[in-house]
Amino acid sequence: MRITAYLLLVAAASAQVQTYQPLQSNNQQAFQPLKNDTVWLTAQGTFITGTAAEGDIHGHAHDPQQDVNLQGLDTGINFNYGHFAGFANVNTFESAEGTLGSEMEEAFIKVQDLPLNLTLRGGRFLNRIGTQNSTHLHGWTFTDANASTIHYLGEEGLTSNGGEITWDQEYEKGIFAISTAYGAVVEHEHGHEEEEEEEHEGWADEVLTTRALLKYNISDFYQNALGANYAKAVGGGTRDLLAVDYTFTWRANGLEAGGNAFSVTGEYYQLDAGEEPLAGTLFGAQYTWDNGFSVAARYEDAEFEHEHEGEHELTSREKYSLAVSYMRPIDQDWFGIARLQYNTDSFEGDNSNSTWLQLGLNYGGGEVR
Amino acid sequence: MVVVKYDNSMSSILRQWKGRGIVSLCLLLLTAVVAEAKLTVSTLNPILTDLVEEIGGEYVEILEVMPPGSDVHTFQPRAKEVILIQKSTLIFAMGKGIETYLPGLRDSLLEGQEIIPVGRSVPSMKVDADPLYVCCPAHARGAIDPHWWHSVKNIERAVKVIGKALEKADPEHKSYYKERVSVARAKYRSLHNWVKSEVSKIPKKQRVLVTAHVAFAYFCREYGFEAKYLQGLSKESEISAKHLAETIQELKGRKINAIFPEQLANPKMLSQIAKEIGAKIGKPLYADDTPGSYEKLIRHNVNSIVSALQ
Repeated sequence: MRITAYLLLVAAASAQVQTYQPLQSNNQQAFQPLKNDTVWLTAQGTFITGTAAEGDIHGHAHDPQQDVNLQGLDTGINFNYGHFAGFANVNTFESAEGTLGSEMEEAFIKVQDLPLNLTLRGGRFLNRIGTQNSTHLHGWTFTDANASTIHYLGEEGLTSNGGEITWDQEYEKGIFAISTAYGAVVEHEHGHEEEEEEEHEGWADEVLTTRALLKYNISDFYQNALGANYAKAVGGGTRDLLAVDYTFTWRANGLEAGGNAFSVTGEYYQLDAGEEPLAGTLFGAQYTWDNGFSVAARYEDAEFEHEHEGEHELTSREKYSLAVSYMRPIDQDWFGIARLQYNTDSFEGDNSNSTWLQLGLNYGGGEVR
Repeated sequence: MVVVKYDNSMSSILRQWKGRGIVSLCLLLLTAVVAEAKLTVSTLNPILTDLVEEIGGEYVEILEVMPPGSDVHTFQPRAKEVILIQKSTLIFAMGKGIETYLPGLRDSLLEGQEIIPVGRSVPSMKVDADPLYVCCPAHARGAIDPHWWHSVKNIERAVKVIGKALEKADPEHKSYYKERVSVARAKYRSLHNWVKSEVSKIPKKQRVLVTAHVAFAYFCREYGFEAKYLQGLSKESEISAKHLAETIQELKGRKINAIFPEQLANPKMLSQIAKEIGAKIGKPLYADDTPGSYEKLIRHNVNSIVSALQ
């Protein structure tokens, strides 16, 4: 079985560090233990079946592309040293044509805990826009990407080579932060060069993105996160994007690890890329049990322009997803995940239904973000 | 009220009574029958033993798992303590991650046993802040400061949690527990007011609490102190020379009256720092240990702080 073979590839030897760095700010936090995240690795393999034609199933370049598929073998490295932190990863994946490809998705350095609560980041990074764009495949709630990510940010989301400045202010019950980035949009190579020109149409050349994020915990148990996002194509592009997102989370264990949890997310995108603005909405909910099982549902409605017989037509896509996942820690550093997902996807007047089985294996602590 | 230490098994009690005659044996059997009727609970910290004793009174038998003098950050129950825990209906834990062995202990519980993490309902303070941006929910949490009991207000909340758990497990004596919760809450309200009144004797500029490890953040927040620490979350934490130098430099410019060592910790490093910054060494504070009761802990700490910083 190819999936098994792929997952076996994941066996990796790696070093860990557990050191302490001094507190920089004036609050009660004396030391922060670094995560054992020097080396980080994930692998996702997917088996798909259903009534959907191959071309309909995928949307995002990292979505499963065919019946049995290496969705991604992602290896990354983090570092933390004093004010400096960094992250780089290479993702290997199987394209729609069945060929293996690799690319460096991110490689950036952060300078953190600067005066005035500033953080600088430079290099190649996934831009902070909405709830999904800056999240790698292993952190997705569903097997496939959100329709809004695909249609408004690009088939691989939005990545740029550039710089970013973040200002944040912590307060007793949460944090407010605003991040602004400017850089050259990265064009991806996924073995389908003919589409490459189209991939970032509108985001070509440079892009300016801003995300304001307010996290507010009513108590340890009830948590809110509100995001406001803006992206503008600069230097040849014509796109303006506004988006807002909100997530409410209830956790039975409060801020302690484990326990049952429930979250709901709403997200709205408005893209001005032509004559009429295009809008997309997402509603999602997830319930997680302490034993590692979770069930998640998602509804999406995204308008996008589609080329038909040489003409650009406005099309609407509706997608319903239901996923049951099981995440099991293997030891302190490893965890495995199995996900069964059903999608019904309606666009261009056609309905497609698909069932996905995703198997994943993850090693390491959190990535530097 | 019966508090059983983990090493005082029934067999050792029998050994003590051996040879004291039939009357003594009968008395022992009678005691055992009465003890049967009690709700058996385990406490994973001496502070909890004190609080559960206060609320549970005569209807609760307490099995104290972690003896006084143990380091709460490093204590791990051994097999015989796990067997002791398995005899109880409720297991009272401090929570907020201080008992790192809880997930493993949960796996070894028998049906019907329940762990009550008493501190969970207390609003958390962070040692390691939640990362602003995270890669996935599995890696979304920062570390919580578990030393919630140093605010007396939080103890008042804990008493309620303990009372509710006892009422649920032993509904027959619900009104008894309710009454004792009410008395205990009044007592801790009064203790909280006493702390505030004592702290008010310290000039506001002098309200800087310099201690060894991160243990007094809840105390400092509640009673208006600025907290400074020279070590990490536990007494075992390493300290970098760079951080130490920076902290000493900062404290030198602050005219700090006193810095405080902790019970059960080596004060050698603090003595050197005190010399360097021209501060005196205060009386050792109780950070993770207790002098016998929670009230004694608070009164000792507050008196030590006030007399040194006044």
